[in-house]
Amino acid sequence: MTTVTHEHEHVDEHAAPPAPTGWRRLTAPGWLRVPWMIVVFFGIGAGITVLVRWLEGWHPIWKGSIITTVELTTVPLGFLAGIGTFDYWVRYATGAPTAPEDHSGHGARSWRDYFRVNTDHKVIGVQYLVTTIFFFLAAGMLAMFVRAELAKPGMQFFDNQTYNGLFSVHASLMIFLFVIPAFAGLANFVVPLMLGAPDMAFPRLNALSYWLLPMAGFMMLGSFLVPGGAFATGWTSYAPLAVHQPLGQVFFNMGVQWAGASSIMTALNFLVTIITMRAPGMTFWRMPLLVWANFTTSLLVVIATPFIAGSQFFVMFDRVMHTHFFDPGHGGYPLAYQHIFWFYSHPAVYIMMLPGFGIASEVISVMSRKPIFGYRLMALSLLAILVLGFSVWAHHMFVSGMAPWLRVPMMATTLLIAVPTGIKVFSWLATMWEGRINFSTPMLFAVGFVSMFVIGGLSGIYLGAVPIDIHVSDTAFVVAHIHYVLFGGSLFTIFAGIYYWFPKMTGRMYNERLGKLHFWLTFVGFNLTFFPMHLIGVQGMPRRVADYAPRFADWNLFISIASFGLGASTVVFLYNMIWSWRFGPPAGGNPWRALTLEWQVTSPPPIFNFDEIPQVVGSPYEYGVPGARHAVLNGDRAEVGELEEVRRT
Amino acid sequence: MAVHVEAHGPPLAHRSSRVDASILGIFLFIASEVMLFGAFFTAYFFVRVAAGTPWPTPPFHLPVFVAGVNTMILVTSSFTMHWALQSIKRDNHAGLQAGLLLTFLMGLTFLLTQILEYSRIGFAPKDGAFATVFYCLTGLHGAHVAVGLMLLGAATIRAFRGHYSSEAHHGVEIPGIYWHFVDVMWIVVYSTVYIL
Amino acid sequence: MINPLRSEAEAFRFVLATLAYFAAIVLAAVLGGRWVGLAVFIVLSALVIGWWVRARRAEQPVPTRPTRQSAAGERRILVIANETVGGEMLRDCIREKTEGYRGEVLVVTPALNSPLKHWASDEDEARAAAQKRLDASLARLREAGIQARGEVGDGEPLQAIEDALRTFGADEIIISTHPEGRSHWLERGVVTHARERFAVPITHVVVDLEAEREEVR
Repeated sequence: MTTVTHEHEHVDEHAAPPAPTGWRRLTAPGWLRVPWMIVVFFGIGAGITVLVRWLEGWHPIWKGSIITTVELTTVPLGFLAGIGTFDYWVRYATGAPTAPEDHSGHGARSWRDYFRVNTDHKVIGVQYLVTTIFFFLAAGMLAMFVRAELAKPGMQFFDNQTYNGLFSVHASLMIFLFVIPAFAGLANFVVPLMLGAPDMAFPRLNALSYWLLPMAGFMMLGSFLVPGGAFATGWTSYAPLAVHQPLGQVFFNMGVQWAGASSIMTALNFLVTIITMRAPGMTFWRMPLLVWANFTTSLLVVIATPFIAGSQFFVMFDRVMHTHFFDPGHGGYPLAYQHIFWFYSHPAVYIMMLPGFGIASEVISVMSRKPIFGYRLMALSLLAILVLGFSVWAHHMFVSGMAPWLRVPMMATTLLIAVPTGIKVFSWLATMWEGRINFSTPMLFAVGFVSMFVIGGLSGIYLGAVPIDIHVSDTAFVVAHIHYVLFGGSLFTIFAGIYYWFPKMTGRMYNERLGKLHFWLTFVGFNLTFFPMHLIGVQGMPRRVADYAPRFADWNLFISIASFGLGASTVVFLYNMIWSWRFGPPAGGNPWRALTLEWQVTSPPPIFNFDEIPQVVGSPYEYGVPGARHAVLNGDRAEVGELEEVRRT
Repeated sequence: MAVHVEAHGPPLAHRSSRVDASILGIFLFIASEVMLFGAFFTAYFFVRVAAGTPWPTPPFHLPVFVAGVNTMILVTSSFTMHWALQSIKRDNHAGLQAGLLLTFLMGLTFLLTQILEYSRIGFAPKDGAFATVFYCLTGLHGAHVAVGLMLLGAATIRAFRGHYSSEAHHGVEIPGIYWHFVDVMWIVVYSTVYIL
Repeated sequence: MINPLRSEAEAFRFVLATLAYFAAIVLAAVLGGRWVGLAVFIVLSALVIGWWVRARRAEQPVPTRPTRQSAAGERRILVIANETVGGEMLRDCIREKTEGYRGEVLVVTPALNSPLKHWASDEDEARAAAQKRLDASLARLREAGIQARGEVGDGEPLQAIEDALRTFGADEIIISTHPEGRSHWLERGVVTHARERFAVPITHVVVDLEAEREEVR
């Protein structure tokens, strides 16, 4: 056993290995390697396709649409290989001795570290958030175009196919490139800290999960540039329509696959981290609710996401290999797509909401200085939503012509899922009851979330009832419901989380007045935009149309103007984030005086999170309970100890 | 007693579960792959049960016997895989290398036989929904076999370089678990597609 | 969360089980027709689910103890008072254990709760009751000449012991419970489990307040 001394043999382990020079810069992992790796993989994709087509005698051999479809698989692999996500594993697989982990690549010491493959969960979390906000802005811009077209009846700016592409890409980006990964990013940053862990269970896999994302997003955006235009079948992309659409459709099919792969890998990482890396003394019933929420969400992702992958595979096979999954003339079954798609996409909406529930619990409890009301039931209700969430998918198919006997059971399970959700809503209210409330920006968004989500949930109850659903299916009523739960629900909690953890992530405090301004502009703009959609939807205004009957003109104009105001409110948010990150006042380790573990370290946290692993001795929500502690950190005191295992021989 | 800790890396994470992290990881990954097969089996259900497509659709036949022999080969490869792991747990390197090599070769035989059958079977994926589901379900499985062969290949190379021991053999255990999953899925696919 | 498969060996056994399962179903269907096959499928599936439900692993915990060692001449005693403690027996017990040392005593009263309130996380009354028990215990110990400090602990006695061991690092534990038959639902088996879980000497004192009796086990 070697003794540890200060003198190393001329190798300073803190420093990175010397940077490559000359032509080696092109072979080292990073952006210089990306272009030529992409070219190589492009060549491989084209080469294999052309070879197979030549051997089989399928003419034309150089078919652009087929080659493009194959390239959507190989080019992203080239990008990932270039930027360096596979380097370690390739070395491992070829049996080369792996470089000892010198941790020099871990963490961010300058802005450059955010633009390369980094294994630090905190860096990855910030990478996720910045990337998802970029796609949020892109998708928001598309929504502005949609509303511009809908401001008046008749066709103003776009033709039907382009318009369809606008709302399709808007929804796909918002779902797959914003809401789901933004929650993943926030959780990536916060969860290991909350657990008292030094990082996630699989840091390299974590880095790979992140880098899959920008490609998926650019794939979807890139579909606008392809002959035939963007995919225009909605984010739901039903077969058989999707099978016969122009090339842009494939950019959705593959983009979803890459985003789904990213999501699954992240979920695996969370599950293993939460199960195996909790601090000593942190039993499952002492985990903060954000951790519970991410645990349940990760289970949902792992189990459900492969179904959307399957559905997209079937559409692609039908397009490329001319298979007959959905073709009744050849033994296929058209509704199969909808069943398989919605079996994922309903749990997807819970994937998009459960982490938000966790964030709301954290913020409301801290800002009310009160323990969460009914903590165990809150955790159990998350599990109940997980289980029930798999039993309701066909409520998206009430008017599809599916087997009629399925409708009433699906209605029953749909209405049932309101019960655990209701438990949560009442718990948040009871947590606030008689609390000493601090209406900071995160709290405003959290409380705003509770109220908006209740409205969205109520319209959901309406939609769950088959007769009402038959009347309002494919109308603006559904659009209203979706946006109340996704904007008023998910987005509000994302904002709450970003504001709440902003000081921890950046070490600086955001501007509170701008934050409150952002909240009120958003809250008012959002309600003015989406509430009227309930009314016109019931009156018959369809969704996914560029033109509509003149009797809806006034409301549509009103909604469009409100939506432009809503879009403008984002500028306040962006300005606040950028300015405060650069110039905001230093925030200190625990500006909210919270008890959870992430607040017990500096802001931003040390590169390896904790100098010593904390000992957890109580629940994380014991605000106002005399003598209660969540965790103890030793510091230099020899008083507080740990428990060691004793193997009985 | 003060120990000067060189903070070159994180303090070791506390292990809050007896399950090893990478083993748990591979089982969860397998769970997601099982669900992917589930999506393909759902398509099979819709084509065969909901749409009532005859199975197999005349005039096509399925090579049940050849696939049966293939099944035996794959099941045997699970035995050799298990043997390889039992060997390395006792530091028997020869057994590990032999077991891994045999498993790899049997897996390769399975895959090549499958590809050969595709060329001789007399129908293509576009020849109706039955053909579609047949090719896609067995093809999905074949893709998983290919991935498994890559994992086994890496493990075999390292085994021949002497990398594993009774203390450290995760690099064999994880591909082993994956390989058993591939075997289980084949039993399910074979039973439902070829026999029932 | 039950993870049924934890190693390659178990995965291999799963392969064999799957083989047997499908072989049985296929054989039944081929020989007896599709309804026989279906029946075998249902029966086997029910058996599998039943086995899985019952195969909950009751893992033997690896015993733990505090890393903190008491300095020479010091001895720390942790008293877990499910019931109000005090009186001769306990005093003698403590005296005996701190013979020749500078003793420090920490009394922890778990906030025992009813099952419904436990699952609703409604702890306030339980904590208040535990605080009352704590104050009474400390008073009685003072009367008996023992200076102790006290804390209200987690609702589950085993968890309360673990928390106290982390913060107090006791050398010995004394657990005081109700007599059997009148024990609280969370108390059942607490001494046995504590002896399995903690590699620290544990003494069990039974206090019967009604009969004003105590005994040491």
